[in-house]
Amino acid sequence: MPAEPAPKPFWLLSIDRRVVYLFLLVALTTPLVVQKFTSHLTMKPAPLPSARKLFDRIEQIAKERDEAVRPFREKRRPELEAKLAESDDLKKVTDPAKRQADLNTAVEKALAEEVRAARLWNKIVILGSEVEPQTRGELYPQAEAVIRHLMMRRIPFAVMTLTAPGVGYTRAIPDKVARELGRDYGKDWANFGYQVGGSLRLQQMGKNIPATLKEDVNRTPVEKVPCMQGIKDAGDVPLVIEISGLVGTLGSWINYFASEKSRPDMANGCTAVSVTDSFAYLESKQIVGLLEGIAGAAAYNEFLAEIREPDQPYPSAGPRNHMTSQTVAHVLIVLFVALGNLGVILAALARRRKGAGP
Amino acid sequence: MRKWLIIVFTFLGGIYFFIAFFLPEHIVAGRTDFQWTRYNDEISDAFQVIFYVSIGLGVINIFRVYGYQVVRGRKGWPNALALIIGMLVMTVAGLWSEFGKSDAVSAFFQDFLFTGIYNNLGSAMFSLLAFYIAGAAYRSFRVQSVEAGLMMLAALVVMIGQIPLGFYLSAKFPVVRNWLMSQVSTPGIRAIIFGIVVAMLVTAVRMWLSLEKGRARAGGR
Repeated sequence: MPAEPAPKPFWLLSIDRRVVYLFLLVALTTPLVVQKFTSHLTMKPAPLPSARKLFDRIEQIAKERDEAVRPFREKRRPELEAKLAESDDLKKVTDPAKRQADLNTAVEKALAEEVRAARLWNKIVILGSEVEPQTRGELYPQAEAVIRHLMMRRIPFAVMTLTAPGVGYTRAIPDKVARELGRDYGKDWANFGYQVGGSLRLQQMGKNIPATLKEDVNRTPVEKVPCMQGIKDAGDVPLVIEISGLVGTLGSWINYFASEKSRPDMANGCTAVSVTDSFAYLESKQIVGLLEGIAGAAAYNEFLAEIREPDQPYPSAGPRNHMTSQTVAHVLIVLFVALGNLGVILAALARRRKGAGP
Repeated sequence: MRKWLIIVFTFLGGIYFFIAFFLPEHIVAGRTDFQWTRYNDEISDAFQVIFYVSIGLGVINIFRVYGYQVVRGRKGWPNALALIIGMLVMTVAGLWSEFGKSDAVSAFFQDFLFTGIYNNLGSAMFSLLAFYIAGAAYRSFRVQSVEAGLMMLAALVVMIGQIPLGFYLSAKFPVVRNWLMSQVSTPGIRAIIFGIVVAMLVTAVRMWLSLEKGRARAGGR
């Protein structure tokens, strides 16, 4: 008696993986292409509380700085206004409103210089940027968003990387945002490029930042970089933001970057696949905020748009567009999962009918 | 002799960093004339030099292993040759752009090699993940038991809660998603991390005391 042929798998249970890949490719690329022609396809990103926490921490740093320098500013402002109002450039402006606006801008600029020179708020935020070609899609927008926030609030920061392929981005991202916002290298940020030595390096840095970093990427000694003057150890760092897709780098910062008496707050930006690892640190309050993949960057840009000054450019629309693309892809995955489960149900019903017999 | 040198240096290195990390700088209360970590910078620098040397050893090893493959014409030799050429070109162009004075070489390295080739190859490799995840989700999330059903439900809520569509469907989606991440996923991950760290501690102690069966025990042979 010939053997009964094996039952043919139900087609909903065995869709070829290449078909799934093809559909996904179309789902991912179509919104990106369409968005080149119309802006109506974008969707407002979901507000992620973890991203909001990081945003709020940076805002808090800005407030602390403003409180520290307020007496000095209040004392110097009338003096500077009186002095700058007499300048030849302003006297040439005939429109009173424009004249006042120009005067305010000049006074703010001069005040910022004087506050910096007086070292009334001697702190620096550190940005550990392990943005690499592999993780560029998710981490570049995150780094850009955080740097934009720091530059918008004029909070000085030092950027560095613990991986060699990240060097180019430590230069490119701040340069791009600085061009848009008119910020100056040295005064508003410093770049220390690739730092070799991993956790040992961070441990040394925590105890003595200038002796460990020695010089920036332009070979300027740390002591001569304006925003680094007076910075000694981890006690002078209110916040470390570690943007990385690598396993272990965030842990190294948390474990090793501390001075004898204090440990700075930490925050993290990670790829979507490593969110679960980083969430453990968020829940234990070892990090104060978290950017979760491209969704984190998109949500952060929405927060930035809320505090944008009228003369400042909008944050990049890239993350928002990518989120729309990701939305379509997620919906497609949900549809495929539903199809697979429909297949399971139909196959079970078919087996039951066959078992019942004629 | 070689075996004992490795064992002694491993033990000393381990105990120094253990002491330097866990004990206060001044061990005797009130005395400030002796610090355990007085030479910490020098010792840490020495270890970093060892890191640098290990990079050099890695390069030599690549030439030995893949160079042998190319010279002998063994299976996969074109890949080995591509690896060696790629490494040499990136090294020379990178060093030249860093220390040389030619802007053309810098631009060639930055624009063509890094941004044009390495960047795109790296992004392409990582983006494959999206396709694998889609394929795996389709094959794995099948309701064949209560546990599988729960897992599928959780995965769907997390996926939808993270995208704008979830927020449009219901403001509760992101809330439920965050609850799942913080109250369900995180304890599991934390348990895994504890397990990994305990295993790492055990391995570290075994390596520190040279109890691991390896080259140290075999005297480098």
